[in-house]
Amino acid sequence: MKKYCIYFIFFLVVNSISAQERVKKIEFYGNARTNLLHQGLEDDKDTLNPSKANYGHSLIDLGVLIRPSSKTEVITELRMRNEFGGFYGGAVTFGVRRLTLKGVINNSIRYKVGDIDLKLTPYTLYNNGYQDAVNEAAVFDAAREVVSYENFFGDNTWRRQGLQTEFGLIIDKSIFKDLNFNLFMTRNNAANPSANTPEQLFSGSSIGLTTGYGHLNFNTTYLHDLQNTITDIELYYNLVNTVSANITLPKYPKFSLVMESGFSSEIFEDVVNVSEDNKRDGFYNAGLKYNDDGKYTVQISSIYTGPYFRSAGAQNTRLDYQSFSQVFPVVSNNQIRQMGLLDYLYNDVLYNKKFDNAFDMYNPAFSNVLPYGSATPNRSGLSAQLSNYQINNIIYLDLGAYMLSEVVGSGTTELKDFLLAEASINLKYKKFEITTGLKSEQTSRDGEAYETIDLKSMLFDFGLDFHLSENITLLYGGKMHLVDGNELLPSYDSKNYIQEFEPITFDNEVQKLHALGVQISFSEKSTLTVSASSFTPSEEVEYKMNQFNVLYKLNF
Amino acid sequence: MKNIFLITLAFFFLSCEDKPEYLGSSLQDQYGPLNISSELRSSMDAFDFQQAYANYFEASWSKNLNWELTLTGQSTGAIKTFSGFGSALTVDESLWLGTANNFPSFSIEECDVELKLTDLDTTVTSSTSVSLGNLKPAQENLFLVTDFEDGLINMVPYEQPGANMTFDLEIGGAASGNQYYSMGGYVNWDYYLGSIKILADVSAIGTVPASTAYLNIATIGGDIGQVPSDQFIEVVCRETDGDLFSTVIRPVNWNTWNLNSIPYSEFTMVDGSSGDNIQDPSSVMRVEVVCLSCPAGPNPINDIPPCEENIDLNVKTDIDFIAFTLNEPYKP
Repeated sequence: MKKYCIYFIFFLVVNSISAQERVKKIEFYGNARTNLLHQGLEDDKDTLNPSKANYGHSLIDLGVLIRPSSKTEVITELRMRNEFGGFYGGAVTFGVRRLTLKGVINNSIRYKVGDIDLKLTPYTLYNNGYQDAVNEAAVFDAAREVVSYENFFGDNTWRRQGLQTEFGLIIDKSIFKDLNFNLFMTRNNAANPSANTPEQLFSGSSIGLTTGYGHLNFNTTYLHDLQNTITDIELYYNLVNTVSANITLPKYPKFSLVMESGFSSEIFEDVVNVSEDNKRDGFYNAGLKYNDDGKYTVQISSIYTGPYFRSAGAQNTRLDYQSFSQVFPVVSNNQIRQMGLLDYLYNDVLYNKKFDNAFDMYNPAFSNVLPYGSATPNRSGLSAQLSNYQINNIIYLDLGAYMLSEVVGSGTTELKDFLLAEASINLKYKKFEITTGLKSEQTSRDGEAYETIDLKSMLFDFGLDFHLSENITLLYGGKMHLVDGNELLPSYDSKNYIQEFEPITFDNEVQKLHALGVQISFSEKSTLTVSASSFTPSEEVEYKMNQFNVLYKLNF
Repeated sequence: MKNIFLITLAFFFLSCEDKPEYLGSSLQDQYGPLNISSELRSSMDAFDFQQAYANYFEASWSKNLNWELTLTGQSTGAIKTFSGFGSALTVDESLWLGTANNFPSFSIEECDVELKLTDLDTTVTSSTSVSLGNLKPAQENLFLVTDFEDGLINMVPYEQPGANMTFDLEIGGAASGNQYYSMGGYVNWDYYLGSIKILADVSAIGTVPASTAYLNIATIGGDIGQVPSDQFIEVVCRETDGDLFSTVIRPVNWNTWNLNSIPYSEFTMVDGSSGDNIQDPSSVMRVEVVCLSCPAGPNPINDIPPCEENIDLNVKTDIDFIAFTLNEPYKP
């Protein structure tokens, strides 16, 4: 198999050289990476488990762009990966990372088949951002890029397999300008008779109407099981319809109305007993946006998301909080090590690559106000955003705040109140560059002792870069996460109804991650980042982790 | 632009549905304190089950949970339990018609009543007592064969020669009433210890399907740990046309009175029947109850190895209250 892959790549290279001399029917691009990690565990109580871990890999993703005709492209990315320690090809793996066919029909209809990246709106199809980062330092950003690249996390897009087509109509009237269609259908799950899970598709559309006032979009997503792909017991359907608009006020052109509203329907069909459970609910997010000629924007919005609003493509978390790393899985001889900031960035914890019928598990220590992004159900209140604000071209500022409460109480008629404040500041001064980010969350609920909730968390990111020369930068990065208080976490039944609430308590837990490194840019496409990190999971936990990381990246 | 507003608003209002008071199970039920707001009390000081009024218990407490109400007869030891989930005990949950869970039945006596409330980490009880006047009326469609209250009239007992044989009428500690029939002893060379044949007249049952007629019999074994392995009883019904149908209750290894209700359709025909082979409960003219147990040996019985573990263990398969009921088992 390996031999055939090498022949294939050789064949492509030879052909491409000859092809490029005539027309660019074949182009190559790619990413190469070497990532070496050496981690050490300082744990005085542990006498049984290894305290050092040394691992890493080299890989190359060779992208081949083939143009069989002027209107058709085939994109494929072939991966060769070699784990360190697997000498003479013993740990080499080959794979196909991407295979996409795309083209244009009659100069008017674009299509893609295969691996496609999809995004609609924050309430329909949206890959919500990381919950353990807010304007990270450059030394961490380098590692974060690896996580995003490996999990296909683009600009809030989801990597899916299926087909997509886009086309438009130019109307050219005074009110209506044009109409654009974006339709897709992807496979979400393969049928698995042993697990009683039928074939599941995720399809959707976005129909955009450009008017003289602004844009109006009708968005639909539909996650649905296919009948008769197994011996059906239960079938799942989740339909979301929204309309979104961005309308400039004619008399005040700096102001625009930004809104999205819609409804969802989540159906569990019991095929055996011929019955169904149907939950319908809706949401709106309506705001007024001020745009100061592109310098900065201010937006204030009113938010309402019903308790039963369900959108599988938008209500998700990137990190699978239930997963564990195999690096130092046990500490103090017999305690399972809880994952923390270092693991999320560098180690082999799992990230969600697809969505399904059930809600992802979230960690209230990192996100409790909007754990599933804007589409988090059962929230109502206001939000305010200041974006791209600059001070003397030195300081760049983004601010955001959410003041929310529950629509319906959780296990009680008392409602939780939520406050989320987020700030990102970038400062550039001579050879110094500072990046900072702060996210603070508060959750509170009054009532009887057993109802009372008081949870506070804060995530602080700080980075300081010093450009020694044009190509060499000294890097410092710090991350600190604090959480204190209590919360009652809901557990859901198989039909996504909340059943019970499990108490969870944080006793002023503080995680700290510091990294010091140097980044050498050999060219715009080639960087080497060497860093040393220290991680303290919590003062209550009596162990530390140290890390040495060499990360070389090359894009071509 | 107004139209765009209307479109977006319409999309939202399309989805408006009634919301619940709160999501999930009540936190008060899950984590709230447990205390009794209204102590347990009976609807009357003395219950008379021959009267038309309802006999029940009432109480209320602070949260929904699993509760259990237990009534125990002070002299018979008869037990009746009610259980449920909720935060109050009302007539709907605790209406008592005078029956017991099993034999023994209640007699005219004082009853201890205890309500037990249990949540995750607390158990709270509330108690009262009630005296019983007239007992429950006879169950509809009950056709008594015998309850041994009138002695062994119209009965033919037989016992094998053996040790400690107890084939006799006993007084006190009965499943129903005051007397029961004891069957037991020690026979180490045969399964058969003895039997009692009881003449019956249940012709009032009429013509009914055999599956709707139940034969009910109260049985009790020996003390736990002292019960021979494989001790059991066989019930043989002889019909007027010569048919013989039997069933086996095997093993009999419990140490409190137990009701056995067996649909007559589950009785199987015995070799030697001379009738029409059709089960007709109304034509049952004799009920024979046979006491059997695996003998201790040491010799095999018809080439079947003995049960050496039964050495020095006395058989005990006492019986009481034999009756037919229609459509449902007997309610003690």
